Order: sequence, then structure tokens, then C-alpha cells
Amino acid sequence: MGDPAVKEPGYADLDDAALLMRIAGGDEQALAALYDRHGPRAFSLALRILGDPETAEEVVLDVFWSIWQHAGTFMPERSRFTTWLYAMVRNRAIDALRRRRVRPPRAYEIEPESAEAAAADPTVEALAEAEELSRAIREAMAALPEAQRQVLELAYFRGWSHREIAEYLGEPLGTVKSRLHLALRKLHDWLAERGLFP
Amino acid sequence: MNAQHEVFEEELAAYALGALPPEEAAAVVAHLAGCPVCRETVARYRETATALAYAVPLRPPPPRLKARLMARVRRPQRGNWQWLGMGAALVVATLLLTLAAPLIFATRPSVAPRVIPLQGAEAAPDAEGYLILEDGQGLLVTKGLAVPPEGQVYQVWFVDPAERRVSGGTFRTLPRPYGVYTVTVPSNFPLYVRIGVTIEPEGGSPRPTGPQVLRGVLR
Repeated sequence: MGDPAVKEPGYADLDDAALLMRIAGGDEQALAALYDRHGPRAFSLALRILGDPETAEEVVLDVFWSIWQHAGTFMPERSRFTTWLYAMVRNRAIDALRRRRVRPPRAYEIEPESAEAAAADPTVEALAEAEELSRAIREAMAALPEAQRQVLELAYFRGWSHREIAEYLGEPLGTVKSRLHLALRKLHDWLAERGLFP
Repeated sequence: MNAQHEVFEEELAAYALGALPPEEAAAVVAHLAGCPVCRETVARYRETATALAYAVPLRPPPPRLKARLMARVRRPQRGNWQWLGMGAALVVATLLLTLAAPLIFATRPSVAPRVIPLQGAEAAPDAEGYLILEDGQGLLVTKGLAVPPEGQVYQVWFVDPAERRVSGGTFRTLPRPYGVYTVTVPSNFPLYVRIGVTIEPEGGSPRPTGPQVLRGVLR
């Protein structure tokens, strides 16, 4: 394949499951297409967790390398590929955070998405569903009470346990558990009402 | 929803976010094994947690990231035959472990190992395998065999000319591309003409009942 920014013709039309099947058969172009589709989001997530582009790059490289090696063992009927992918990126980024003691970015700030970043790669958000989900989840987060958003972000982006969060905030454990639950349930309901979950 | 269930839902939410310490996560896992309702809830919360990945502002990765990935992929580590190389390395290591003791204590002349290729069958058309026989001991190397469903295993069968089958043992694959398993080779092995691998309930079956995943011709 040539220019990394150019999607391979034909492959962009295949869904994730079809690409994974081809990857399992050793098809490099299918891997390239899967990376074009999900790599930028994966990188952005790793970067958000780590705050360090070089470590984020290593995490994403590792994850896609694992996909290349183990595509045949992923069973798409069990969950959506993206659920698995982003869970893997998050887990590895948090592992790297702990291992290398990378200083994380401030945990609970919602950064406005700059027009510059969004426009940098026009192919990235070609999927209308991803765009819609992105908008909805931001709205849902913004609609959460600050205290709920804070615990959710500490859990998801820092990988802290509820005890660590309770200690950090000086709040009772029960309060933290209950906030985590409420926050997640509200996000779920918000997305479900908009038909973004099956 | 009663108050007790509400409390447990809090555990499930924390579990889905990976925010439970290991001992509490283990308790949730134990509960999930027997509770389809809570499994459903966790799946829903996991999808919700994943949506947080979409809340992150998009930052384009450096172009070299894709270039590095594709360069690594193109290194000759994979292909139609390379996997046999990897499998062979595994086999050599396992053979040494399995066979070293008898070889050290026995003085019988060693026989060259026999390698029998196995093809994917109806339930796993893309799977491949090799049966390696040496001194009456068998090793099965598999490629692309998925983890069997919960409560099921793979079972090896030797088939004689009268279509009678004898079990060569059972195994479970791990979520890895390759696997190496010991096979119980019947003492009258030269009488058998084919080998097959089927999916069977845990513990194995007296005769094949499930779909076939691998098959090969012995003679």
C-alpha cells in the first residue's frame, strides 16, 4: 500500500468482522484498512490516558500487532469489535501508566475538540455512527453532575479502583460506588434513548 | 428493583469499569457464572464504558505509526509455511520435554518422527494441524482452532478400516493461534487409517457426537 492516509479501495466497505476474517488469513491490506478505521480513535484514547504521544504510539502499535497475530481467535458474535479494541487499548495504556509512572493528564477536564484536530484527518470520522456516538457521549458527559463525571473519569481514564478514588477524593467508599453506578447508568440511558446501543 | 439488587448493580458498574480490586472482581465473576441477568447488565455497562473512548478529542496519530505497524507485519514471521516453523520449534521443545526421560533410560533405537498433516473440517474449515508420531507417542499441533464453547472440548479419534473409532484423548485450546497437545496413540496404531478431531462435551464421549474440526489420513 502507498500513502498511509489513503484507504485501500474496496476494504473500506467491509465491516470489522469481514476485515478480521481476512486478517486471520494473513491479509495485510485488511489490517491497514482496520487501522485506518480505528487507529486514530485508539491513539487518541491512549494519548488521553497517558498524556505522552510516544508511549501512546507504542500502546497502539502493540494492540494492532496483537490483532494481526490473534485475529482468528476474536469471536465477533460475543461482542462488538470496538468494545474489545478500546478495552484493550485502555487496559494496555493504564498498564503502561502504572509501569512507567507516566504523569497522567488532568483527569477530569473535558477538552473541547478543536476544529483543527477534527479536520486533520477527514477520513477518520467517515463513519456516521462514530460521529454520532462521539457527539452523544460528550453531551451525556456534560449533562452529568460534576461529582459523577469526576469519579467516572478517574475510573476510566486513570484506571483507579473505587477505593483509590474514595481515598483521593476523601469521600466514603459507598458514595463513590453509588456515583460510579449512577454515572454509568445515566450514560447508558442517554445513549440507548438515542438508539446508539442495540 | 429491590435495594439489595441495587447494591449489587453498583458492584457490576464498578466491575464493568475495571474499578474493583481483584478479590471483589473475583466475587463478581463467580456470581456472573450463574446469573445471565447480571451478565447482560455487565455487557451493557461495558459497552457504555467503551463509549467513553468516543468522548476523547481526536488527535491524529503520527503517520509513522501505520508505517511501523505495516513494516512489522511484512517481516517474514507469518505465511503459509512460517507457522509450521513456529509450530516445529514448539514441537521440538515439547518433544524434548515429553520424550527426554524415556530416551535417557531406554536404549532402543530412535525412529524418525512421522508427520501427518490434518485439514480443517466442516466446523473449522480454516484450521490446520499436524500429528507428530515418535516412538509410539503422539503430539498434535493445531493452528487456528478457536477456544471451544464453555463445557465442551476437542476429542481426537483414530478410525480403523471398519469405521470403528477409538479415542486419542481430549484437549481445550487457549485463545492463541497455535496449540500443542499430547495424543494417546493406540498400541495397534498401524491398523488405523484415519484421524479426526470433533467437538464433544467436557470429559469426552465414547464415540464422536459433535461436528468435526480436523481430519487426516494415516495410510
